[in-house]
Amino acid sequence: MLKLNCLNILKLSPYLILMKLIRYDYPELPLGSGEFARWLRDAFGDSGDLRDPLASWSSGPGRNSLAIDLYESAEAYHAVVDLPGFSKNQVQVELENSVLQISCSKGGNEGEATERYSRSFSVPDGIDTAKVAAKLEDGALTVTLPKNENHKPRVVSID
Amino acid sequence: MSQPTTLSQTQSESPAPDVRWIKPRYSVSERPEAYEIRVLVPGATRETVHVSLKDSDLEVTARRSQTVDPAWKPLVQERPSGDYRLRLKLNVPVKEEAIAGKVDNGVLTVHLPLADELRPRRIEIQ
Repeated sequence: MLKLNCLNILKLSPYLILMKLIRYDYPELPLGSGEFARWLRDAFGDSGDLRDPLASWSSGPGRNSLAIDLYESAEAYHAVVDLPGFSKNQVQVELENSVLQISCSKGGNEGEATERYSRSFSVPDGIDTAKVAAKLEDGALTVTLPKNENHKPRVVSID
Repeated sequence: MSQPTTLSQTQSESPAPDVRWIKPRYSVSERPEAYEIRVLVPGATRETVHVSLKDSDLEVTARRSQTVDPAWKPLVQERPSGDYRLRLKLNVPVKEEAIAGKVDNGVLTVHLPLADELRPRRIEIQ
């Protein structure tokens, strides 16, 4: 039994060696889209295209994500997204199951290419969903996500 | 920006030392009688956009008009920060006095009419 096993391994060994020689082609990282790429390039100091406001908009499928800024103030969270060239009725902001989705699209008439971008992210806990408001001004969208009363900082008076 | 032009030849060459320029995305389209440049300057308004032409150098600078409240604590910042600056070298003569620009939803459109000698002319057949 043991002998047979050894024999089998010996028989297989050329293949094993061969396998080691063949370079494994790692699937390519989807650089150029998503936060990971952004993080990676930021981390490595590549201040190239990704520093452009719409670099991720530029070309091809999979590159239609939007760059987002998120801020926190005492009363609310604020998400800011650049949407140059889009008007109010071409932009949609949806909040569902604590996921906020910002999407926009335009074009598509008479041979014109459709431009479509979207981005979603989980909103922090304690948002007053009924009071979420969005404002589009000069091509920049600001979504205000007010905090619930019990999530706001409270000043405790000392007796 | 319905005024004829925002050409300011005296745009200062020395920005504040901490200014970080970002090159905005732009596209150029060619018309029979003019070139049109679209520059994406989200957050900028006609008051904060400057277009200048010096010899054949076209320079566009723009600044976000509303910046975020400095009291807000940044949690995630993916958008580039800084002022916009785009410099283009024109290789065709343009009619300087007829350059026009407008800003709409964070997109600047600069209309550069070709100089007369370059315009296509229709020749009447007798």
